[in-house]
Formats: sequence, structure tokens, C-alpha cells
Amino acid sequence: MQLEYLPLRKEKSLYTWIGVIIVGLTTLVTGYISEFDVLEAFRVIPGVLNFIFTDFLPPAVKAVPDFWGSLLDTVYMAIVSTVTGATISLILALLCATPTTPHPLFKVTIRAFASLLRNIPALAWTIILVPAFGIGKTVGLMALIIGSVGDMTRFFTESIEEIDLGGIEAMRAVGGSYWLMLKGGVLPQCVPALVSWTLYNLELNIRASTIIGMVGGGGIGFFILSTIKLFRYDHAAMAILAVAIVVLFVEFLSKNIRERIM
Amino acid sequence: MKPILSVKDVKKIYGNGTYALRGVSFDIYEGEFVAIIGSSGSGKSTLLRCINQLIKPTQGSIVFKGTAVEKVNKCELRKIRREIGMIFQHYNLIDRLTVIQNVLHGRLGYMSDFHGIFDLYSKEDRWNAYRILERVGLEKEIHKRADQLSGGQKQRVGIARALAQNPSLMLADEPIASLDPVTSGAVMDYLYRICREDKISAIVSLHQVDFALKYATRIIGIKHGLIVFDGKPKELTDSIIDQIYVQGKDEFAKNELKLQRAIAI
Repeated sequence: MQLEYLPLRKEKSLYTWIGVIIVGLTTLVTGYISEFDVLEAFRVIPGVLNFIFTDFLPPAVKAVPDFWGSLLDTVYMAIVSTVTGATISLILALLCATPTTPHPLFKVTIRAFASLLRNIPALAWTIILVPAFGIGKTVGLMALIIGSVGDMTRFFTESIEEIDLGGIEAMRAVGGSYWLMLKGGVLPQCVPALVSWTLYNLELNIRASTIIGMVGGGGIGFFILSTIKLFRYDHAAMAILAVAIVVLFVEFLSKNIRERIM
Repeated sequence: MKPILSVKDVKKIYGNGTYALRGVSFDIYEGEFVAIIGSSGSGKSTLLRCINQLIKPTQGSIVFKGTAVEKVNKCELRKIRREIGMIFQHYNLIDRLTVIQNVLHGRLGYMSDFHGIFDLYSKEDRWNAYRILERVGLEKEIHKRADQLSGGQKQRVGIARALAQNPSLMLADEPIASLDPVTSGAVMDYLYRICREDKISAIVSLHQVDFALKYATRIIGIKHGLIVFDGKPKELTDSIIDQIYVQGKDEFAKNELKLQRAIAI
């Protein structure tokens, strides 16, 4: 008797279609304004491939000794900035997160401060800081630390806010002080999340420290940029390959550590 | 005899205007095992938390062993809290830590920040914690992580942690509400026996009248933030149970309780 489809909703949603049309139109309009040409994108493919295969490949293995030092610099910068950033962020996050904040005023200020640091990319921080500190690793480190603090303060705050408040209540009930409440009730619950975010931040920092090297932050970015300017693309290719290997290795490592601690 | 705890005219109005307690007074004497009964939202949890100041009462006085707990400073409050053990409905253990670590948390109230932060529990504390775990039958699980335990075991760790405080008063907020009936009985047995053996006074909030009748030396019934009954278990009549549990939507629950009571007696 009932051969019609049973509708899944009371009324067909008009909004879904309006949404699809809006997104579609916006894409077309913005594409037109920014002179995005699909055909052009396909047309340049042979040229790009030609460039990659004749100029970039094969990577010049003999360039490795030239950039080995700067590659290590990049890795060191990433590690130091991540650890420093994590330490600062942990303090800020404890002051900022709802269960642990000493005063609501800290919450608002730290949130705003972290968001300011976060929303200016490390690349921009480097450019801002170069006039003050000059070109070199110091600037790169500063920029990375600033970016890390911005990111990790937010991640850490959210991790602390996700813990079970019952543990904190129990620590207060046994007569624990504020510090013992942090040590006994808060940290054991959120340390895995904090470590996991720190490792993720290390990955981000290795990538970012490559980029900021190009604008004067020290490390392998500078080597890549200067070889490209000298048209020694095979040298640049080798350096880019080396960065990719390092990034993959760190990702692999952090994935394993994270799986083990969670 | 002087009461160990004296609660006088305690009121609690929450920020959103809810009257949780509208003036509650009672005295607890040494060795009493008091059950607080009442339907959800009647103010049982608020009352228990006012006693150790996890919630600040809006008005009224609470005197524990001669000290007015709402007037003391932070340091003295820690000293009062460490003498009052607390057991929670959701156990409130730290899941990622081991059983023995959770039990030793009961000692934090006696420790300096430095000793606490670096887990410098004394030899005596450690062995005491072990002996307490023996008493609640968990000596084989001491190095298990708390999240690997069953509900009943978790609550026994909760009892052990409170006991490690060496308390003179035990507050239990719905200690068996998250457990099945058989486990509930076992946990109540442990709680009752330990409080008797160690001469710890206890205030236990329950919503199962049968358990209240079985264990309590005294029952306090709360409704809408007011005490509507305070007396011996045998004085708790059907009509009083009717009064304690809100009419109407709780009709079914109420009949269930009368039935339980009939079985229990």
C-alpha cells in the first residue's frame, strides 16, 4: 500500500541547497577575480615537470657536507624552541585553565596574549624581529618560541580543561594545598595530552624553522634560498630532500611515542 | 557528650538563585553511622560538601571538633579537611595512577608541598597504605592502574584513600549509587565495618532506603533543603517516607521504596 519513500526529515531543507549555491558562486567569483585559470594550470604542467627533472633532479649528493651543519641547526632550533615554548606554555596554561586559574583575570589576559602570538605567523615574527636582532639563529629561535607559546598555551589550556574535575575535588577534600592539587590531581590526568601536543609542536617547528631560515632566521632555509638564487637547483633539491627525511622521521617518532603514552 | 560535628542553620543559595539548603541543623556524635536520605536535588550532596567546605555555605555555622570550619584560614582548613575522609559517587580516583598511589593521596593533607610533589611518602605511610588495602581486600592489586579496576574495586580504593587520612569523620556522597546491588552491599559492608572498627563517625547519603535501614544508627531525611525527619531507623514510617520523597513524578520510586522497606524489616 505504501509505495512512497519514507522521508528521513519532516521537510526538505532548502538551506542545504542555498548553502551549496552560495559556496559554488563564491568559488567562481573569487576564482575569476584572482585570475585562476584551470586550463593554464594544466598547460604549465609539462614545463614544471621539465624544470623539476632537468634542473632539480637528481639531487646533488655532494652538497650534503655544505648544508649538514645548517640542517642540524634547524633541528636544534626546533628542539630548543619546542622545549622552551612548552615550559612557558605549561605555566601560562595552568594560570589560564578554568580548573587551575588563581584568578579569572589571568584567564582573559593570557587567552588574549596567546591568541595575539598565535595569529601572527612565525615567518612574520622573524621579519619583525630581524631589524632588532639582526640575521641569525637568535631571531629564528625567538620567532619559533613565540609561535610555540601561542600554539601550545592554547592546546595545553584545552587539555587541562578536559580533565575529570572529580580528581581535583578529591585532592581538595584530603586537605591538599594548591600545588599538591596540581601535582596529584591535575598533572597525572593531562600529561599524556601535553606530551602529545609538544611532539606535534616539534613537527610544526621543524617545518617552520626551514621557512624562517629563508627570511634570515638561520638554519637550512638560508642554504636553500641562496642555492636557488645561484641556480644550483640540484643542491637545493638535496637540501629539500634532507628536510623531508627529517620531518618524516620526526613524524614517525612522535606518532610512535604518542601511541605508546596515550 | 560533646558532638564531633555540629551543623547549625546552614543555608546555601547558589549563584543562579537555587535554594539548595534552607537552614539545616543537626549534631553528630562519636560512633554514629548516619544515613541521609532524600530524592535527587534535595540538597544531600550540597550538605556533605558544606561540612568540609568544598562548597561554601551562604549562612550558618559548622563546628567540627570545636573549630568553626567556615571561619578558619586556608592552612587550618587543610588540617580540618585531612581529618574528614570523603568518598564520592564517581570514586574520584586518578585513573592513570596506581592503586597504591591513589591511596597515598590520602596522606597529602599531612605533607609539605615539597614532600608531596616528589612523592616522598614515609616508609610508615607506605606500609600503612598497604595494610589498609589489605583491609579492603585489594592487596593483590596495589600496582594496577585505577582505570583497570571494576566499579566496586574503585570504590574500595576510594574508601582506602579516605582511611589513609586517619579520619575521625567520614563523609560518603552516594557511595553506591553507581554500583550494582550485589557490589553495593559489599561496599557498604566494608564502609560500615571499617567505620565501626576504627570508631569513625560517618555521614552517608543514600537514596536506597533499604540500605539506610540496614546500616544506619540514625536516619536524616531531607526534602527541598530542609530536614523533615531525624531519628532512629525504626521510627521511619511509611508516611514519613512519603513525605521525604517528592509527590507526583516520584510516585513509582516511592512505592518501590516502601516495598524495599517492607522486605528489609
